[in-house]
Amino acid sequence: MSKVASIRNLQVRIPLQDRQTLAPVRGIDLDIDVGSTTCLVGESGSGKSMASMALLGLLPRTATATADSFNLVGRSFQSIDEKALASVRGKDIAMIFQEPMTSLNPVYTIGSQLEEVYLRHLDRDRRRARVRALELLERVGIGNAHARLSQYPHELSGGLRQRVMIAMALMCDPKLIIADEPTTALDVTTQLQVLELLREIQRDYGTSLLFITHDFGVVSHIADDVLVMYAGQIVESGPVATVLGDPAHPYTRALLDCVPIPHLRPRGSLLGSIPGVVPSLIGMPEHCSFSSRCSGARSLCVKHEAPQQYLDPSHWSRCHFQFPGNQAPLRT
Amino acid sequence: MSLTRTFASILHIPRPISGAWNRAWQHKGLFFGAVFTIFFIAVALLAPYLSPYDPYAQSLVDRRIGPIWHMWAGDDARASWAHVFGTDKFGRDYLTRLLYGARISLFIGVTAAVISGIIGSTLGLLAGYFGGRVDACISFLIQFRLSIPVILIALAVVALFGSSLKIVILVIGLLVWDRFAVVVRSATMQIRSMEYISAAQAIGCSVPHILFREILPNAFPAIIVIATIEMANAILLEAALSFLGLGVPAPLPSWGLMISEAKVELFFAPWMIVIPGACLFLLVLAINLLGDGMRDFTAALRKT
Repeated sequence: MSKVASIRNLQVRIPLQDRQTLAPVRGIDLDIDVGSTTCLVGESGSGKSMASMALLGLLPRTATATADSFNLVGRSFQSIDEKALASVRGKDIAMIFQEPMTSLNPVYTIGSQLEEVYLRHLDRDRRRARVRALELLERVGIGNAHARLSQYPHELSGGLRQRVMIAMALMCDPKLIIADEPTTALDVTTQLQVLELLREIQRDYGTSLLFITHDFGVVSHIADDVLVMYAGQIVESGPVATVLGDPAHPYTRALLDCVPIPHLRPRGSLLGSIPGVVPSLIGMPEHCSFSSRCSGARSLCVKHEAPQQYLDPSHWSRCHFQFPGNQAPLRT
Repeated sequence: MSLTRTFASILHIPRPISGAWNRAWQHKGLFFGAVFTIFFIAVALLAPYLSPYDPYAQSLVDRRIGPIWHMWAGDDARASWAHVFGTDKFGRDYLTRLLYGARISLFIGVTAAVISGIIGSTLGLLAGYFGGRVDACISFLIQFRLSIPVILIALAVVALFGSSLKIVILVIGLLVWDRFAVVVRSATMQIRSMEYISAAQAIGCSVPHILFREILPNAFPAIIVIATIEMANAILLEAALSFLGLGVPAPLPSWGLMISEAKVELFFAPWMIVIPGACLFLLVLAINLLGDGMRDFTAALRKT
């Protein structure tokens, strides 16, 4: 299968003043198949948003991104920064943001903001841009689309605004849409509608979707592949059914244990929680970064970083003890 | 209510949050400020139609005619409705000069506010958006500007280039941009953290586009408020400079110049100093009320 993104060893570094360096993303590999949905899951501070912003070249000014190889939408990039990625940003790769309340500029109409993207990248014909905007507003299920074009963002509800954002992302027929927690700020019924919409859109247009979330309910709903991210690394990767059904990494298991969704957990079990917090970005440990919070951590875990080990050709994880039978003495 | 609605739709003003027009109407400061400001603007624009006289035409036979209340009191046989506020020592109709003076004050106020607004807003946008070294440089520039006494600079400039309307406008416009810069800088810092700015970056907008098309319109409420206050400031500054003889040259009918020329006659014709003073007071008060009202009003809108 051809890939819309193939990235090896992506790293993001933010140098601090006192010669220290923050490393929010520490060598992740990212492969997104054409027309598939990849979910990047992780708690706050795990680096998932940083990784996605690196794909657009929109990191904070002080941060730098490097990678061994960086192939996006069929092109290979030597450097990963704002300038280099300007040619694909907005056209081949579109982004949907978390907050529909603030992601539209309040002083322009919905129509002019939609047309802007088209006029910027495709052609300068305002009439064709308007036709395209109208078509997409209808496609994302906004009734009375014609009247909506001349409305301002404050006249629309959160769910409608997120639909507008989806329409805006589709304006240039992108090959990849990055959605950074697009449903987090919506209420539950709207969440489901927006998820359904994204799934339909993705099926109809054959667009690939990189979906960033911390919600396993959302993951089970929309994903083809799942990447679980922890402390700047991907700790488990595989097809959604395998990762959710048979998680290999203790972090994935712990996360799944926190999900209050009935069909994902045994009846009558208590909701879990993970003690502690994500390790500080300064002074990230050399050994397994989850060892300080892992209930099954042993002496090996605080000595060495776990290698990437395949359980089957499509499913791997980074845990010393992911294979049953590979047991070492518990840490004392 | 329906009238304001109609106006709004004619002018294509975006439909405000419901009741906004109503509340604007009820804000007394905003109301009186707007009414008086519009009154002065109307007077300035319609001056040639409101008065049959030329503000520069001197007439030796009509010198020092008293105002209309001297006719009522029987003090001055020459006082009549022909010259409501009388004439000055050159026989020029005083009311006419006042009307034309509104033009000069407003013209200076608007142009100086526009010039300083453009300079200050640009600096503020750059400082707020880029931060870091750019911000440090521009903040230093603001501090530097604040340490310069405006009157002293004006004195030096007039001594070097002589006085003219153009020079007064430039001196004021090029010197009072600091408040714009400070306010726009902080507004920009707040706006640039909004997701629509990230969204604009994500669709591939250039930096000038983001600065001037995405951020600037959102900072506009703050800029308008500062602009009214700076306008009032510029008008006062012009009057002060003219009073000191550093402002617009005679025979332009500037209010400050009229006050300055009338000060020698303070004990014989006090109205000649009181009337332009009162006009200046009213205009500056009105513009300040308008600015304050708009500030309250935009803050209230933001809260809802």
